[in-house]
Amino acid sequence: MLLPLSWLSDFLEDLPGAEVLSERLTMAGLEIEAISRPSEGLAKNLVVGRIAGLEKHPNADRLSLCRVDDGEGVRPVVCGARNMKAGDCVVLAKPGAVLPGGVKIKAAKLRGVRSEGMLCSAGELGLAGDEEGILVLPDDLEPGSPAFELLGLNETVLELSITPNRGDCLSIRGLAREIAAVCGLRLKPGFDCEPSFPPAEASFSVKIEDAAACPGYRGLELHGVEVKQSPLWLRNRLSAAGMRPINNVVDVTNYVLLELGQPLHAFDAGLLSGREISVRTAAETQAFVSLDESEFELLPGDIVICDAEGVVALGGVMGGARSAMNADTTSVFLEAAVFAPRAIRRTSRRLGLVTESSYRFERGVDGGGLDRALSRAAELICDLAGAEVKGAASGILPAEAAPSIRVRCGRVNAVLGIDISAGESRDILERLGLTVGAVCEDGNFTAVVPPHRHDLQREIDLIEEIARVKGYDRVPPSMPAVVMRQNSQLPGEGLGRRLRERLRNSGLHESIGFSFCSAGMNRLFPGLHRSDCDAVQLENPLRSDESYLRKSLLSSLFEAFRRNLHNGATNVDLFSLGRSFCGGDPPGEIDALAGLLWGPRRARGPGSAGAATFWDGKGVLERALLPELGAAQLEWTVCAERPEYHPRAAARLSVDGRHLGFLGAVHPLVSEHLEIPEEIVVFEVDTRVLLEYAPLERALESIPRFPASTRDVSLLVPSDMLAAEVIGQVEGLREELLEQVSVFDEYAGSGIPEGRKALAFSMVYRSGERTLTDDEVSELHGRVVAHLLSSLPVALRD
Amino acid sequence: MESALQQLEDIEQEALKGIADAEDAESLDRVRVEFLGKKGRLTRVLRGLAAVPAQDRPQIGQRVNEAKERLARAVDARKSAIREREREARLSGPQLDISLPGFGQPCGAIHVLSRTMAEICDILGGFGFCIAEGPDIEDEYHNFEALNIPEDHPARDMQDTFFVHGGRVLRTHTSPVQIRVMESLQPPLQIIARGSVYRHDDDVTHSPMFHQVEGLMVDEGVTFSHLKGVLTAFLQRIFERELPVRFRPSYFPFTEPSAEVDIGCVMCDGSGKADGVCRICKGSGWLEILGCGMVDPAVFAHVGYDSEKYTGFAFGLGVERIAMLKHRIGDIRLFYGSDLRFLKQF
Ligand SMILES: [Zn+2]
Repeated sequence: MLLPLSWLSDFLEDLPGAEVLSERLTMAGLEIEAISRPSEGLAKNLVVGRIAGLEKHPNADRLSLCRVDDGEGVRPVVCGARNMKAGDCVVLAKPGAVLPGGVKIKAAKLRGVRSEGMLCSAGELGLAGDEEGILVLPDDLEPGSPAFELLGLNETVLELSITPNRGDCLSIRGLAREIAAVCGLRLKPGFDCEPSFPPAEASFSVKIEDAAACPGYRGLELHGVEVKQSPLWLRNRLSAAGMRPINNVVDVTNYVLLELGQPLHAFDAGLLSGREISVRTAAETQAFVSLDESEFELLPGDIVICDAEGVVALGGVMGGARSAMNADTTSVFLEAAVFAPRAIRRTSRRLGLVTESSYRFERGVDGGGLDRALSRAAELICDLAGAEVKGAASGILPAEAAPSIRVRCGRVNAVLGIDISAGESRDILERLGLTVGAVCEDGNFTAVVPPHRHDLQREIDLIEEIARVKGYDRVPPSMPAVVMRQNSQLPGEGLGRRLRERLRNSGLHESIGFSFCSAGMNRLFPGLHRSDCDAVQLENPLRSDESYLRKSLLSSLFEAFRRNLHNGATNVDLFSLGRSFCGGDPPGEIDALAGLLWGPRRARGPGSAGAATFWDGKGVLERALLPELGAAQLEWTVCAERPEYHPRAAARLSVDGRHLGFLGAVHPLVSEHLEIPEEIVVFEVDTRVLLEYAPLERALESIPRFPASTRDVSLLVPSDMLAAEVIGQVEGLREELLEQVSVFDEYAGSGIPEGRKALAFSMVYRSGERTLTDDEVSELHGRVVAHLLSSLPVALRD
Repeated sequence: MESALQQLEDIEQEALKGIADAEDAESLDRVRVEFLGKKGRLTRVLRGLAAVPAQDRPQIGQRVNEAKERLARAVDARKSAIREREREARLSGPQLDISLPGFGQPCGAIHVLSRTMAEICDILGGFGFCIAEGPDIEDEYHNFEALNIPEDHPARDMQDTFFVHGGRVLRTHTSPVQIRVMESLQPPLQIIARGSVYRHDDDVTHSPMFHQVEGLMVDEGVTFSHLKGVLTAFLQRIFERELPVRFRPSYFPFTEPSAEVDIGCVMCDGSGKADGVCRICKGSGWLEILGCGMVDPAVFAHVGYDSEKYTGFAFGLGVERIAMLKHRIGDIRLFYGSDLRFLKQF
């Protein structure tokens, strides 16, 4: 809402400066978003000029050379516009003027002809309006007189952000009333005088078929209207308030809307059919052409204004084309009505048609203002368009009982935590226009709300008003007494922090991506949800490739990966902790952890230095997850059936037989599809499972007293055999003295037969009671190796 | 005897020369063994005493022992000299390039939003608030109606909403978590609801997804004054300074009275000036930081709390906003870009 201060001072005495006003209004809940002040660079050097002569520019077809009388003399000005003629009064920016866009006017030669200034258009002066060409002023002005004030450019305008509960502040008069109350200013005499409604016979009848949709309707018929441009003062005010001037009648309806907050609509009375206006809700789906010639489809429930032929306006939103004002209009039917906020909002939102009128009706228009608005409009139209009032029309008028609210002084203080007397509370509400009763002995009193404050319904609403006007800064801050209770910390909180810490220590960077993704990404990455579940689709996505919620965190990680590739990253190690989604009732949400590793790294464990391997991912996951699982172990099984993972290089993770997630190299088709390199390792884990385990409380294991002996064995095994099978066989022996068996090398290639690979194991032997002899260990180791050779298709590697 | 002494003298001179010529510990040891060893030349002189007249033997033996002692001292001295020279050589080698990078696992990073979220939760946790969570995909009842935002109410314009096929919405705030907690617990309670929230909005200053932390305290005797106390203390802790805090009236459907909270601008210290007009606060000296208020009785009615007995306050803050101010991050989109050049900085 734009508030020109000169307009505000029509209603208020002794207005303080913009700064002071802005500070006080902000602290009273009327937030000031910006203050726009008159431009100093423009104040000087902007005068009325009269075109004394006009000819074509000798060297340019599209330019004119004007001789402009500036009151002191005639100067040459080159101009590109074509809408002026000799004798016109125009706005002349003399050299030295600075236009709102920052352009400084200088005397210069244009195509070889000297030009001493510029003729301005409305847009160049920062005024609303998009007419082509320069601004042509009324021709009774004196050349050389200052144009700055004439055009209203000396206006200071506050931009307010009005909260949705304060429909009463969407007008200059409403703001004046509010500002008077919260700043302690005086309203001008006559502010509350009842308007003198022009006397007229009823010339239209009004039939309201749905009183809930339209509790009140008034009309005035005006004849002898001459449609023309509005005078400058009116156009200036509309411009300053951000509205584009159109013609005198439409401008007056907009002026009254801004000034009083009551939307008006002007029909061409000659185009209305019959003498009855009916207000109803549309009974069936029908077409409607608005006054700007756009076509809309109306649905049952939309409020419509009809004449004998049908719909002439979409009530409270926009007028129709059939009865629209035009240049030939001579009689006008002015409508002032109140419509049900919710119905207006439904219609306006469905049609995407938010107008100044619908915006105000949604937020509640005071039904008591119909006559004030109509008489003000009639007065202005009669004055500016030479019209006279010919007839009136009237439907049901609102007769709302104002609510009477009991205010308990004790309650006010109990909510706010201050000590404010009943008398002070009462005074504050009275300043706000409430009718307050005397304070009873118990400190309570009643207050009756004026019709414009329909947001005040309950005691708590009045408590807020008391606090707001008293000033929030008058409430001292204090700390509540907190009952210490057992700390019921969210279990996921600690888990998330520990996982982040460990993954960070493993060199991964946390990425947070949007929950949105494309249908294609959801097909590539089905995530941890049931394989048959649908993705969650948005009805109103911002972009077509963000129209689903991700089924897998991997969708987000691959987007992040691609962006980093594009930025030239050579190493991308990322993880993300977040939610993934699937359809259902209720929809499924999984708290998951996912990671992505790509790019060269130092060798760790089996495998050569270079690209990220399955085992890099395995190391990261073990370090992150094992400490969460207590005594339980991660179980790894070959996973060959997931579409996003390489069928020969992926594993399914579980714990105690419960599915946890996946780890593996990415399937080559994924890389092809996303046009990214191969050799990416990713994982995704359902962290909810981890919450069922608690980190192990460790008890000390005794430190061995006797030395261990280590023996190695290198085996040739089938290429597909897992080291875990060999280790399983060894462990199956349950040799008491065999402390540990581990794999330390894997090798295939030169020297190894086709279809085989070499695996090297290390066995640690130890007794808790004595030092084992060499012979004992050799004998034991021989038995273990012999068992392997006899139970598995393996051979010793020479 | 003369010849024996002469011989001894010659051997000693030869040995001293050998010692002096020894350039390293090894050659010195060879000289030591040659002259002083069990089969060394001086020992041989002693063995050769048999050929010396008996009365001369003690004198020669004494001279041999004296020579042995002198040579042993010379060897020791030479040994120290050699060791010293070698140490000198080792110490005067080239300067180690101490500026080369250290070895080891390069560290990753925890996202600045996660860190900020944790800081916020830790401070509020210290005030006695417990964390609660709820679903991202909400029903309209919990996201709107129960929070006193009826359908067709203009307050819905304050929160542009993503709708999901099948009648649900992506939560526009974490307030529905408060409703869910109040539906299952009786007062007193003190919780913070945190998580991702979504608004149908995308420009330089708005992100369609962002993170919120909301606090709720309900008990007998909770007042607006307490709300001011808790939030002032929180803001001074999170920004680690005694910054000015102001509460100004505003409107939220689920609180009454409602307030917006501003802090003194962290860039210009509230002066409004930093290289001309401060860009962060646009010259006002204040930054809007969070919204709050006393829980509206209509919300209590929805969860069956007696609003005559209990009062409560609620507040909601954007984690991105706080992270941006604390770390001077100018563009909200950086949080979600996953650019390693950004992530590595925190
Ligand atoms: Zn600042």
